[in-house]
Amino acid sequence: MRYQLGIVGGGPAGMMAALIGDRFGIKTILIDDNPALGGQLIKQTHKFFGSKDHYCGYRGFQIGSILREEIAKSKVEVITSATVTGIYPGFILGLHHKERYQEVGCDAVIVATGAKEKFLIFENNDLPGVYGAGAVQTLMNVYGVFPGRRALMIGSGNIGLIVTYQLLQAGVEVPFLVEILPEIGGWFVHAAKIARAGTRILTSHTIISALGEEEVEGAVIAKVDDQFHPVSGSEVTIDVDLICLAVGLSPLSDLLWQVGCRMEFIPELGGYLAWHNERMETTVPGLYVAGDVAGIEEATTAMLEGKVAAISAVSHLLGPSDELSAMQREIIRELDDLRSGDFSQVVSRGLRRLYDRP
Amino acid sequence: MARPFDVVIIGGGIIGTATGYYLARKGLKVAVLEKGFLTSGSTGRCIGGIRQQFTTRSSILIAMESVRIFKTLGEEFGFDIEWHQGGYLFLAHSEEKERAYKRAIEVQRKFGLEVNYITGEEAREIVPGLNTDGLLGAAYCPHDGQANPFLVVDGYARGIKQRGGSIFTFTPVTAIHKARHFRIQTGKGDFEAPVVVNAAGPWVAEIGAMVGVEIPAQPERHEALITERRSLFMEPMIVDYRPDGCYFQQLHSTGQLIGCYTPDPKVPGRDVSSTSEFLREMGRRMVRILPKLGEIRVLRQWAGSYTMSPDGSPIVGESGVEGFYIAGAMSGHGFMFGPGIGRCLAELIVGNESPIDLSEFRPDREFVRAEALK
Repeated sequence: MRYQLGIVGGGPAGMMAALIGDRFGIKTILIDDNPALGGQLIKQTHKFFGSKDHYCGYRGFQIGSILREEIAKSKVEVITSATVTGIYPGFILGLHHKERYQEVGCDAVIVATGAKEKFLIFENNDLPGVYGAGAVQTLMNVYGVFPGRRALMIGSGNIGLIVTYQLLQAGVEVPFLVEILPEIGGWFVHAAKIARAGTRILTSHTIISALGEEEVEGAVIAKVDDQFHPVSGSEVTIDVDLICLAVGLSPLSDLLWQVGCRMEFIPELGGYLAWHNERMETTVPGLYVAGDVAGIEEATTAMLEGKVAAISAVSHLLGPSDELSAMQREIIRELDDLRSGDFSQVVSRGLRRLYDRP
Repeated sequence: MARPFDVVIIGGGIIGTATGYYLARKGLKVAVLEKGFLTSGSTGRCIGGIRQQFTTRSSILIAMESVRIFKTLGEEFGFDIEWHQGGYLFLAHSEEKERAYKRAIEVQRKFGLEVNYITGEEAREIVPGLNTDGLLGAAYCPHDGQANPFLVVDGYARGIKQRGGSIFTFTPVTAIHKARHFRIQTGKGDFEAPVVVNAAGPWVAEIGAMVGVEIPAQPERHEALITERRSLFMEPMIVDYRPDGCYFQQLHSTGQLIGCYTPDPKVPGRDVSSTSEFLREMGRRMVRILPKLGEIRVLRQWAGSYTMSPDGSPIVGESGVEGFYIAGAMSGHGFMFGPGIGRCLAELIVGNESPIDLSEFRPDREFVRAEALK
């Protein structure tokens, strides 16, 4: 099987890229390892902000459904429950699908594999009941599974704040959220909401250990000093059966290492990622990145990056045109606008560092 | 200021660290210079098989010496190196192979190696589930085995440091000058020593060229894979030398199957990227030999270099430049020969006779007698 464009990852970036490819008549295949397309959108129950162009007012899972329906109406070929295990010379994608190994050949590839949750080192962190916040969100919002009775949330970025709120909505008590930094990381509006619902947000605090033999039965938290060292004597034992880690994401970049992209370490963007420019071109000609794998942000920028990457791929496949570059410039401008706010300062700094590297 | 040592070894794989260890044990001040991390060349990419079934005298003897060393190496290091004596089973699917194995067995037995030619049925008793279609018989040596290359190199490297030696990783050699002593330039300063050992694996010819020594060594890419775990069901390494054959074994430590094949046509060069073809082909070839492997998942694939000499035997000994020793072109047998070669080379370097006759490995040989069981 041969396709003009292969897209690895069917989240917001990959779906949007596939739709753009299809719009230009590119024979496109979209591959995802989950049973359904949507990526992280399928579990996002919060409403999106921003402009109408960017699905403002819709909840994440609704945006996922809209894109899924558009893809169903398009000529994009979709394979779900398929893991891309390698990208080989000649852009042959190795697929693990239905317990068989298959190959799909492509002329251009967009890697939009997203991110993985970071973990935290503390005593007993391997006890059942210690979860990534994203995993808890999936359990509750996708599978309808009650994750625990009383939760400790770790990390006050937007994911920590939003998942705390969703836990509360589901009827899980969240007595404490600890944040190692002296300030809350995420948006005030989210923090205020959970504070009103009774969650105590403890800044300059961290987890010391999980308690329990077979599963989480409690946790010890403590204050930290300005060097982030626990202050002895400040330890408090709390009664929880669920510990939720919302301590950041890192790009899921294994395929990019394997394919031989030049990799750069940019902490502001989540760690190692493939070097790319604002057209989402990597150091491997014909291979592009989009979404969290190109630097941790959120779904709106991921969708725009998906568009940008797809336009680069279309130019590569069909040859450049004024129409394509005008369209791409417009989207890059939208991305710049979105990233001009205070909360995007870190990302913008990271991207500048990346683009500045030759 | 150049840092002075008694011996500078270039290459932090099995050959470099083993040689360094046996030299350090003799009280010499040793430095190992490695351009990457330890085992980052060929050693960390090999599949860990250790066999003694060869056809030339020096290879058989050095392999037997290595097995003797592997047996007690864990004890010497104070930790397990995952040595396991599961044997090697060479399958014969043609009368030609059958004759070749029987001839080889005659030679091997002269050196005291316990090795037998067995029937296909007997082979299936050793490896339950073995496909005996077209199988005429097999050469079987139960005393061959396996060990973990990372642990072995780690043990040797620790041993070097414990005896006052030094390991310099991420220290690529950029030039070597010979005056009274060798002066070795690296990315991290200069080193000086009267003796240099070139154990640079796939880079052995480039390092040789730095002192004007030509080494007929050519790296070739070999690919490998490892599967998920299974409960232990097979002991030996299976070797299928058909043109579309392969070799694989079950790691006794984890239960994973690990294997590779010799590509045809060969792939010269130091490229160690992986191919989709290998993944497909290796799976097919393994399943042909052991149909029950059809449901097992591959966890990982990678590639490494076999650094080949023209006759398939290593190049070991002092070069035309006095004090410049070569231990390279292991032709795919570096890990299994490593301990023996390290020990013998250490003796040569301090001026003793090598305990094993290494004349067939001499750098100045004619390269005419080919090792049949490459």
